[in-house]
Amino acid sequence: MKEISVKYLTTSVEKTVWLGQQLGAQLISGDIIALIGDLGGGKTWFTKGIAIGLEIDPNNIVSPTFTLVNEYRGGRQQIFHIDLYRLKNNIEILDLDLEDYFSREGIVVIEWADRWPGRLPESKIHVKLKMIDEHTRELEFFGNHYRAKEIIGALKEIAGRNLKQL
Amino acid sequence: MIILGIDTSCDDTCAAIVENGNTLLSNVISSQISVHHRYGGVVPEIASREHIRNIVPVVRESLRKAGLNNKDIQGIAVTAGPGLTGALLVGIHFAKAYSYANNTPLIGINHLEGHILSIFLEKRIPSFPFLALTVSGGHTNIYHVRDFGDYTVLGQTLDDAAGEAFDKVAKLLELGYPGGPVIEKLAATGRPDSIDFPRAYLSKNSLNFSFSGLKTAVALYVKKWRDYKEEKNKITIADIAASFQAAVVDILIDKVITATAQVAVKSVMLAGGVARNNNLRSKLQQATSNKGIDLYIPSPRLCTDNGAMIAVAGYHRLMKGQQNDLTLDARSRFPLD
Repeated sequence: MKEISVKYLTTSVEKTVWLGQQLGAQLISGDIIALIGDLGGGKTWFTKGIAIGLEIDPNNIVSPTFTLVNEYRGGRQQIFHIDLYRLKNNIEILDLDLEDYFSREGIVVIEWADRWPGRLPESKIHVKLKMIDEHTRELEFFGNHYRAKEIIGALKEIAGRNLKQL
Repeated sequence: MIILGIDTSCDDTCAAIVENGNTLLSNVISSQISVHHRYGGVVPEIASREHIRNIVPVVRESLRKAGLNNKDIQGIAVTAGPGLTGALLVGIHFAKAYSYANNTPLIGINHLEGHILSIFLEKRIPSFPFLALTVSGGHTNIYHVRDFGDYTVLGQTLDDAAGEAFDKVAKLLELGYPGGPVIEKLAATGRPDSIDFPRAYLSKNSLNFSFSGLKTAVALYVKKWRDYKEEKNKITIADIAASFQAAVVDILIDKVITATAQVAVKSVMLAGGVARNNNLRSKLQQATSNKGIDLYIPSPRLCTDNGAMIAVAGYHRLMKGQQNDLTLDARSRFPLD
């Protein structure tokens, strides 16, 4: 299937969180969000937005770099917030047992997803966060699975119209 | 009462034996003994598999160093969370098997309670109530500690932990891992006021922390610094490290001092891996004594993860008659209050 993509510029953390929220509101159990971006790109704050969209308290969402996996419950769907930043070899990635999370009820959000592209399922939706300056980020959503098409299509409807007015 | 304490919440496999919640009989951490050599091969940083290999030799070593046998152990305390489930389960399953085989009372402990109570292994101890700042690679929390087992979280990080900020800035500066010691060393020769990195205090009364904005500011600055020769002539890498460290220390101290005013305590204790940072220790010492507040910091070997602090927490809970049965399970998220 052909890849679908859309790009947005956000000029504040609040707008990045808002975009995350719009994405989160579209998600259903089994969806996998693969986040890509430099240190300071806003991946954790974007994930707070996804949590709001899933009716989870965003204050619970913190960087999973240290713990590797954070689990958030109490919303419409639980979130498995995974970070591949520290993983250096195949043994470590096997120990994390990623496949187990992909088959569980809930949403999987993966930071530093580009570290291990071969380990992620086809159905993932990519979000690439690029740091333009201190407050401005470019967020690119892309994927070629039918879920990516559905979600990005819905996002285009909402975000394009409203992002500028924030 | 002699307690065996076990912690497998992170990278190191830890076991220790403590008597009466205040006397350290032994304290063994996997990275400090030759487990690696004995078993050969490289130790993966995170592997629960590695905990499985380490746990029995580490516990044996803790018994040997204390000069004790299994029959001398009157309680076994194990970290039940927070942490990575797979890693925690190794310690928990070991503790359950130990408890079952030796008929030893079992108690599951919150890792952060362990850090808070680590100070009771020192000679100089605070009296209740006091404030505890726990700072490590995974946690940045301020607690109001009213008694053993009675804690309220007053503030926590909304994004990155303080230790994580050190690690990530070290990565940006290509200094290696872990970032804390290497940045501290470099910062000692730099000017802390050379770059004015942002201090995110959030609102004035909030006791929460945010370090991701600081990390972003350093990332942007380093990019500029690498590209412009003039900037590179003016500012050294040590200056960047010192300015970053100064920002982290300022933020931590500001929130601690604000907290002491909000809950009216006379004592503060500092724990966790970042508590080993000498700049933080001395600046916090200065700031607290200016306010007439006593500061308590455990010795460095008790600041990082260890089994001794888990044994201390276990002692106080077992003394209160609390105990877990064999259904004890890992809790990756485990609020303390």
